[in-house]
Amino acid sequence: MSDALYRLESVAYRHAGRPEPSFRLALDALTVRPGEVLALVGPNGAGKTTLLTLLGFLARPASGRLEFLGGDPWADGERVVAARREAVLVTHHPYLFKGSVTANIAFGLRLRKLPDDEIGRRTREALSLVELDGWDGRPAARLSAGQAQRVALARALALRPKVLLLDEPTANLDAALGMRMEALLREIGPGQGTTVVFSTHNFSQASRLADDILYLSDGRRVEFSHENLFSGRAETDGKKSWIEPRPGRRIVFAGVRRGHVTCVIDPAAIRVTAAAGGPDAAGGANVFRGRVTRMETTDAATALVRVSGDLVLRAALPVRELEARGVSLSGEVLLRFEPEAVEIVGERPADGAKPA
Amino acid sequence: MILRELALAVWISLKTSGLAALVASALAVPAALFLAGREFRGKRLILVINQTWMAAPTVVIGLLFYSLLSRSGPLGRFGLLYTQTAMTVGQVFLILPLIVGFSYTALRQVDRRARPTALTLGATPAQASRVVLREARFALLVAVLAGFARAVSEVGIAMMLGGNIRNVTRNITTSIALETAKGEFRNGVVLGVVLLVITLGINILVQAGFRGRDSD
Amino acid sequence: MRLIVPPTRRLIQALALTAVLALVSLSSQLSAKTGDTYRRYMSPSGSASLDSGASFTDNDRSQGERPARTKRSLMLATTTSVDATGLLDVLADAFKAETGITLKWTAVGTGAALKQARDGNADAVIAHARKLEEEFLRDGYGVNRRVIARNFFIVVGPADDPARLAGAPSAAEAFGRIKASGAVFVSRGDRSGTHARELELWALAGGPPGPPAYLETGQGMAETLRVASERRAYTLTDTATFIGLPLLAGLRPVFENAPELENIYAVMAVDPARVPTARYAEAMALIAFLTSPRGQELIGGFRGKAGRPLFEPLAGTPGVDLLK
Repeated sequence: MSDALYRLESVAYRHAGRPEPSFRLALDALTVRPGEVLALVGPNGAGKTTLLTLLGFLARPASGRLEFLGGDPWADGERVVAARREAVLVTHHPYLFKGSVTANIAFGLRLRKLPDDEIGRRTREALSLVELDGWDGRPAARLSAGQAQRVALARALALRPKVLLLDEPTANLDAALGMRMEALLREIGPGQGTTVVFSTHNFSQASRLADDILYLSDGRRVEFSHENLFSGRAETDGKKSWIEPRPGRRIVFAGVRRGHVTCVIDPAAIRVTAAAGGPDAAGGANVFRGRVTRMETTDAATALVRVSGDLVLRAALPVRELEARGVSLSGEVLLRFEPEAVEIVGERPADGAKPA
Repeated sequence: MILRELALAVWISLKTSGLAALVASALAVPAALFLAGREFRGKRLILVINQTWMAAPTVVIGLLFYSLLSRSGPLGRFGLLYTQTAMTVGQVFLILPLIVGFSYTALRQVDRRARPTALTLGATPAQASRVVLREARFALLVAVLAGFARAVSEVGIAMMLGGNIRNVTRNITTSIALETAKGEFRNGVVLGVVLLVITLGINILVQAGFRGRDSD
Repeated sequence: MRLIVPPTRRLIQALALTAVLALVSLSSQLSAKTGDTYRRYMSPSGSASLDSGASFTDNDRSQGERPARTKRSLMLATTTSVDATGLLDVLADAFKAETGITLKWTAVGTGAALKQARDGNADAVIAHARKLEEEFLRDGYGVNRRVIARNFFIVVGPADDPARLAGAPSAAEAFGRIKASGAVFVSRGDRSGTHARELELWALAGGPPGPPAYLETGQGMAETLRVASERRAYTLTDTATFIGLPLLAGLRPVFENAPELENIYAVMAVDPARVPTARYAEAMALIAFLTSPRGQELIGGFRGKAGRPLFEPLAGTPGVDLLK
C-alpha cells in the first residue's frame, strides 16, 4: 500500500475562469507505482494535460485527496517545492529560457546546488541521450520545434527526477526520431527507476511503451478494453462513416468523421451466432465471420470468445447462451454489432498534419 | 562658473537622480511584478491611476512635497526641505509611475509559460519570479533608464525642493536656470550640452544594448 | 522580447541632427556682445524694452518708431531688495506725474543690475553696494552717483539662537560667534549688494565658514530667507524684505544696529559717452527727482507692509555722496 508513488482519490480540478470555472477533470481513484510507465490516452480536451499538471504539482486539486510519496505535497510551501523537484513536467510546447541550450539544462541543476563539474557532466549526458551532442552553446531561440522539445526533455532528464511527466513527447518529432525517443523512454523507466507518465493520442505508442493505460474522455476516466481496437482512415457519406482495417472489411460507425480515427468495440455489444454453413453473403454493416479460437470465462457468468476471421474480434456473452446460440470452440460464427456500439477513442486530422 | 562648481553640479544631478531611479525601481519593479502576475478586481483602476500620474507636472509635485516637507508642514520635523534628500524624494514620486508602467509592459511580454517552467524544474516561487525578471531584463533596464532620464532632466522639483543651493542642491538643471537668469549663457550652454550628452548617451546605450541582443 | 528599434544608421543620423540643432540654437546665446538678440533675454519684473523708445507695454506703437515727446520712458536696473518693498511703485507714479517720464525697472542682484547697465540694457541704476558702484564709475560706465537713502541690515536666525548672537558687542564679534558655533549660515551668493556686505562682514571675522555650515542660494532675498527658515540657519537680510515675508517660521532678528550694518542706497546714470543708447536726459531727471525734497519726502514717508518706515532719506545731508 505504502509503496505507491501517487495516490489520488476523488480528485477534481476546475479551471478558474470567467464568468465561472470550467470543469476539467474528475478522477475517482488512481494509483501510480514507482518505476511504472503510465500512458494517458484520450482526445484533445480530455484532461490529459490537466492530470499531468496536477501530478507535477503545478496546480492544486479543487477537491479530493492527492498523496505523493505517502504525504500531502500541498501541506506547506516547502513540501510543494520539494515535490516539484521530484516530478518534472515537460509540456507539449515547451518553453526554453533565453540563453544557450546549456543554460537551460543547467537551470534546474543549479537550483539543486550541484557542483559545476557535475552540472557539466549531466548536461553532456542528457544532450547525448536526446541526440543533440555538441549543441551546448546554441542559443535556445534558434532551435526548431523538434529540437526544442528534445532540449526540454534533456533539461528534465538531467535532473534525474523520480517522476517524468511528458505531454505528447513525440508530437513534434518526425517518425524516425520519434521511434528513437520512444526507445529512450523505454529505457529510462526500468533503467533508472524513473516513473514515467506520458500522454498521447496514439494508441499504438501507448500500447508499445506503457505498462498501464489510463483512458480519459471529457475529463473522466473511461474504461476501454483494448480489445477490438482498430484504426484507419475514416470515410464518410455524410451520415455515417467507416474505416476499412482490411480491404473490403468495413467497420461502420455513427456520425461524420474524417481523418485518421481509432475505435474500439465493446465486446459485450457484439452479438454472436453460429454461422450457417458455407461462406456467407451476410452483407450489411458490421457483420463479420470467423472461427472461435479461444474461449474463456471472465467471471462466473460471462464468457469471452476470440474470433479470428476477417478481423480478430472478441465478444462477450453470458455463459448460458453459449449453447443456445451454438457457439463452440473452433466453430464458425457470425459477429454483428450496431454502428452505435463503435466508440471513437482517437482522432487525428488526415495524415501528415500534426494534432491541434 | 568655475570647473569645480560645474563638476559638482553634474555630480549632484547624477547622485540625486540616480538614487531616485534606484529607489523608485526598487519599489516599482516588485509592484509591476505583482500586477503583471495576476488578475484581480481593481487592477484596471490601479493601472489607470498609474497612467494618469505619469503626466503630473513637476512643479505640481514640487509644490505638493514643498507643503509636506516644509517646517510648517506635516513632515516638517524631519527638516528635509532644501536638501538633496528632498530632491530625491520628489523625483522618486515623479518617476515611480513611469517605471511601474514600463516594467509592467515588459513583464507582460514575458512568455506565460516561463514561470511554470521554472517551477517544474524545481524553483521556489521567489526563484521563479527572479526567472521572470531575468527573462525581461533588458526591457526592465530600459524602464529604469527611462526613469533616470526623466529625473535628471526635470527642473521643477529640483528647484522647489532643493533650493538651488550652490554645491549642495544646485544640479545641472537648476544651474542652467540660474545661469540663464543671470545672463551667463556660456555657462548655461556648457551645462546644457553636458545634460544632452548624458540623456542622449543613455539612449544610445539602451538602443545598442537592444540591437546586440535582438538575436537572443 | 522584441521592441521597435530603429536601425543604427538612422538612429545616429537622428541624434546628429538633434545635436546640431541644439548647438545651433544654443550657440546664438554664446556671443555675449551687445545686440538686439541679447537684449531680449532680460528677466524683467517691470517690462523689457527692445531698443530705446519702443516697449512691449505701449501696444499702440509699432517697433522702432521714435516716441513722441510726451511718452518718454526710462529703464532702471535695481536690486530685489529695493523692488520687493514696493517703494518704486510709489516713486514711479510721482515721477511720471511730475515729469511725464514712464519709469520701468528690473530687479536682480546688484552685480546683475550693474551688468545690465554695462550691456546697455538700463539707463540708470539704483544699488546699495558702494564698492561695486565705485568700480562701475571708475570703468566709466556711470556718472553722477547720488546717495538717496539708507536703512540697516539685520542678522536673523533661529529662535533659540544657538550661536548666542544676541548681545554681541560688535559685528565682528557676532559673525565670529556664528563661525565658532558651527551654526549654518545662508548666503545670497549672487553678487548682490546684500551679498557684498555679507562678505565684508565675514572679512571682519576672518572669512566665511566652509561647507556644510555655509549655504549659497544664488537667489533673491526672499528665497534665501526661506532657506534659512527651513534649515534653521542664520542669514543677513534687509529689514524690508524680512518684514514683508509671511510665514518665516522660527526666524527672528538676533543682531542689529551696528554701524557695519548700515545700508546706503545710491542712484547712478549710465554714461552716454560709454553707452551711446543710454537715455541720459531721462536718467538725470530721475536723479534730480529722487534727490529733490519731494522725492526725499516720499522715500522717508514710505511705509512698508508692516506699517514701519523702511528708508531714511539721506540726500540732504551735506557731503553724503562722498562719505557714504
